[in-house]
This record gives sequence, C-alpha cells and structure tokens, in this order.
Amino acid sequence: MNKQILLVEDEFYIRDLYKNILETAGFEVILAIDGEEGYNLAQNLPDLILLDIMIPKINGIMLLKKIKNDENTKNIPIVLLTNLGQESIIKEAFTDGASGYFLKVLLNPKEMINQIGRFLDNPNLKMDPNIIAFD
Amino acid sequence: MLHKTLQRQLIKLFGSSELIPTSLNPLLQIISDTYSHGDEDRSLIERSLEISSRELESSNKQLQSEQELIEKEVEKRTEELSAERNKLSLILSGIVDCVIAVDRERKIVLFNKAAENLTGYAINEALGKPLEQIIKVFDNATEISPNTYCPIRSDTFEGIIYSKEGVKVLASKEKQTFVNLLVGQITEGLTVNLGCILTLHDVNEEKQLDEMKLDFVAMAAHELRTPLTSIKGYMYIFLRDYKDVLNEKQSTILSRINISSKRLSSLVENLLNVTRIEKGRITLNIQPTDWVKNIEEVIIEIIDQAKDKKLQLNFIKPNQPIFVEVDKLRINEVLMNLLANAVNYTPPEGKIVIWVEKVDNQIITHIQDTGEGIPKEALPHLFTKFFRVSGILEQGSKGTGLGLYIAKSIVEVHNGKIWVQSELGKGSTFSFSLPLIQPKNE
Repeated sequence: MNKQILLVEDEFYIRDLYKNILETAGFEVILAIDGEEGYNLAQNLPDLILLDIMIPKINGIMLLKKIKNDENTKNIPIVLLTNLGQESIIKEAFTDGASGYFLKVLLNPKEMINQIGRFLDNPNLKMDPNIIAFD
Repeated sequence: MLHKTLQRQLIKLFGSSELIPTSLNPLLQIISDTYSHGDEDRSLIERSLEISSRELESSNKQLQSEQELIEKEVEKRTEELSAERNKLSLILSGIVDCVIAVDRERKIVLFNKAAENLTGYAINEALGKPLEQIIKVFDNATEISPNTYCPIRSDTFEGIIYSKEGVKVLASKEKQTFVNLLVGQITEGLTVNLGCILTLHDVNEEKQLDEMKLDFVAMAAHELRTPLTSIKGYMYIFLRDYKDVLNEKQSTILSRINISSKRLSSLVENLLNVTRIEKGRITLNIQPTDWVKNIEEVIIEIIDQAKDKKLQLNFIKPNQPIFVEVDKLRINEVLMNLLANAVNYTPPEGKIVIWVEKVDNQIITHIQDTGEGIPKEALPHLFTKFFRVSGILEQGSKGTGLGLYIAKSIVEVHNGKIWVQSELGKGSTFSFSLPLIQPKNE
C-alpha cells in the first residue's frame, strides 16, 4: 500500500507542485488548503504531514501544536514546508515536536523525497535544527 | 549791663532795679560774666551738637543710600539666581533624556521631567526615596543590582562609572522602557553629599524600529521566495518529464531559464545575507566537512553555466582527503560567489582552474580564471559593499556588488582570509584560507 502524505498548503501553484513531485515518487497525496481542514484531515492518520506555516484559519505552528497535543494524531511525523526562515520560528517548531523543517525555495526535490523516506522508515527521526540556515 | 537772666532774677528778688544795692555791683558783674560765659559755652555746645547732628544726618543719608544700593544689588542677585535656577530647571525639564541624581545614601535628590515621564512617578513622589524603590534595571531577564549600576564610591574620580546599552527599566504601574544607561559621579560628590548622576536615554523607538526592519525583511523574503519556489519547482518538473523530447534549441532555452531562476534565488538569499551580516546575526553551524567533496558539489551547480559559455572548468583534486570545520551552507555561498564571478567575467572559450594548497595549519583554495582581470585602482575596494568593477563584456553579470562583500564576511567569520591577484586583460585568481582540522592519525 502506498504511504499517505497530508500536504497543508494554501498557495495553489505550490500545492500542485508538491502534489506532482510526491505522486511521481509514489506517494498518495491528501490536500488541505487551510489549518482547519488540515486538522480535520489529520484525524484520518496519514503517514506523514507536510505543513506550511503561512496558512489561513490556524497557522502552521499552532496547527503543529494542536496535532501533537491530540492523542489520536500525536505520533504522526510532521515536517514544516515553508519559506519562513527566522531562527526563533525554526527553534519553536522543533520544540513543539516537528520532525523536520524544509525551506521551500532552497529545497531540492530529490533531497526532499529522500528525507521523507527516512522519516517514514523511522517516525521518531528528527532533523538536526542546526543544518538549516537561519534568516 | 548785667546779663538779662541775672537782671530778671534780681528784679524778682529786690522788686525793682533801683533797689539793688550798689555794693553788690562787682559781685553781680562777676555773676553776669559767668552767665555770659555760660551762654557762650551753651552756644558752643549747641553749635557742636548742630554740627554733629548734621554730620550724623549726612552719615545716615549715606548709609541709607548705601543700604538702598545693597538692597538693589541683593534683589538683582536674587533675580539672577532665580532666573538661573529657572533656566536650569527649564533645561533639565527640556532635556529629553531622563536625569536622576542621588545622594550618598542613594536617595533621589534630582528628578527631571523626563524622569517623571519615563517612570510614571511625579517629582514629589520620587524626591527623597531610595533609588531602587523608583526604578529596577534589567539586562534581558537578569536584574542589575543598584550596587552595580549606581555604586557609591569614596574616590574623587570624576566621570562615567557605569554604562550599559539596551537595558530594561521597570518603574511604576508596569511601565517598562528600554534605555541606554550612563552613570557618572563628580569630584565634589563627597563634600556636597552627591552620589551618582544617572542618565537614561530612551531607545524604545530604536528597538521597535529594529523589530520593524527585521519583520519587513522576513516578510519581503517570504514574498520573494514564494514565486521563486514555483519557478524552480515547475522547471524541475518540466525538465524531468520532457527533457528527452526537447531538441537542442529548446533545451538551451530552458537551461537558461533554469540558470536565471537559480541566479535570482541566489540574489534574494544574498540580500538576506547582507541583513544578517549587518546585524551580526550570522549564526554558524560548524561541522567537519570533506573539503574536496564539497568543492565538487558546488562545481556541479555551476557546470551548466560554464558549459553554456564554452568555458573549461578544471578542479585539480589533491591526492589526500582534506577536512575543515565550516558552516557548509555559508562556505558554499563563498564558493558559488567566486565561481559565478569567474564564469561571468571570463569570455567564451576561456579557462577556470580550481586548486587547493596546504600552508601551515590552513588550506588555501584558489580559483583562477582567464577573464578580463581587475584594474589596479579597483583592488582596494573590491571586497566592500556595493562595489562593482564594470565588466567590458556585454554578457557580463550586472551584479549587486554584494557577492565579494558577503564572501569576505563569511570567510572572516570562519577565521580565514580572502584575497585576489589580478592582471588586467590576463585574468584573476581569487584565494581564501580556512583553518584545517588535523587528522587524528597524524
């Protein structure tokens, strides 16, 4: 069975872009366009959640906290997929339980797929926050 | 003739002047003479008294006028003092900075208008109170003791005894302000019971402005990055799916769009870098890195651009592995900047050579090109912000003048050095050094 990835992203082009990349790599992709929809769809227990931060209704950091505090969904690995690079935000994300943090504009699709594969093999894996360049 | 007074007395005694016995005449004459002398004496005394009294009067008048002069002088001086005090008071209240002075028991003796505004305490609430009752000073979350920032010393030093920028001052009613704190003392402090004089310069606005600038940069970066993400992403997909069905011309067109979008992305990150550097916020993540492998990875990024210009790019690999401790992301920005410059400023069919050299504890990386070279007068300004040597090739990059400035900042923050050797018309060699990690088995 294919692994299911929930992608929470409000920008249409970006959503379609990553949907294409992930489906070509063999994943089943579920889409959410805001934080509320993201929380609801997380209840279906995808294998991994890719989460943008600047999304309507509930922002990505708040949604991250919500999902991690929910008994049902707290074990799903969550990777932030964003263009915000401030040190304080990155640090907070990892404190709140994010497994990884990708800066979209610098993201190499091959690397992304490899890293996702690693998270799926080991849901407890955490990226080293220090390898991200802070703004 | 007998003295009038005597005559009167004789008439009273004898009744009339005919009844005065003539035998008394010599005696009466003597008495009359005595009376006359008395008159003269009295007259003299009277004259003396008159003179004295006139003199007294004149002295009095003089004293009076002198007193009036003195009073006028006192009045004038009092007015001047009053005006001085008013002036000082006005000046103090006109001083934008908060001024607080304390005596040698650290009780407040001076508290200007700005202090009232900053602390929320009125002057009569503050005067006489211990300093720590009115303000508390914090450096981030740690409180600074009054003994530290307002020490009461017994020396005659005159000048600043404590200074700290960006401290937080907590006063009444939760009033919180960021200030630059300057504390001084004067020589006469011991004699006039003056302890410290504190000046608090409000930097709240500056702090807020800094916050705003950071917010703006973050928002701008985010906004610019979003369409860039799309461009790069869809280019990736397009080439992945259609590379094989493209003819050479179409491939070249797409390749150039790809290269341009990468360059655009690099520019955006460069702009962000400058802000990071300005704020001293380059946080380095230092990891041991295989330097040779790293150079090869960066070459892969630039090789297409080089091939496009028919440039030969050679990396002379050393036969030993080399390890350095670097922030890979940042040091690669340096390599990319230098390689991009080499590609941009070298005419087609030119050559770019990269090699490394071990010198003492350093590894020096050289990037040599057969490009147009750099004029001598440009060399001292080369690594400064916004400086560009205008290229003579029409294909030359327009550049922001930031690349070398950023490269220098990053190399130096790694404790390395960067320099260039160049000859106009022949080419340039850019070199930078990095400290080596000695391998454990050496």
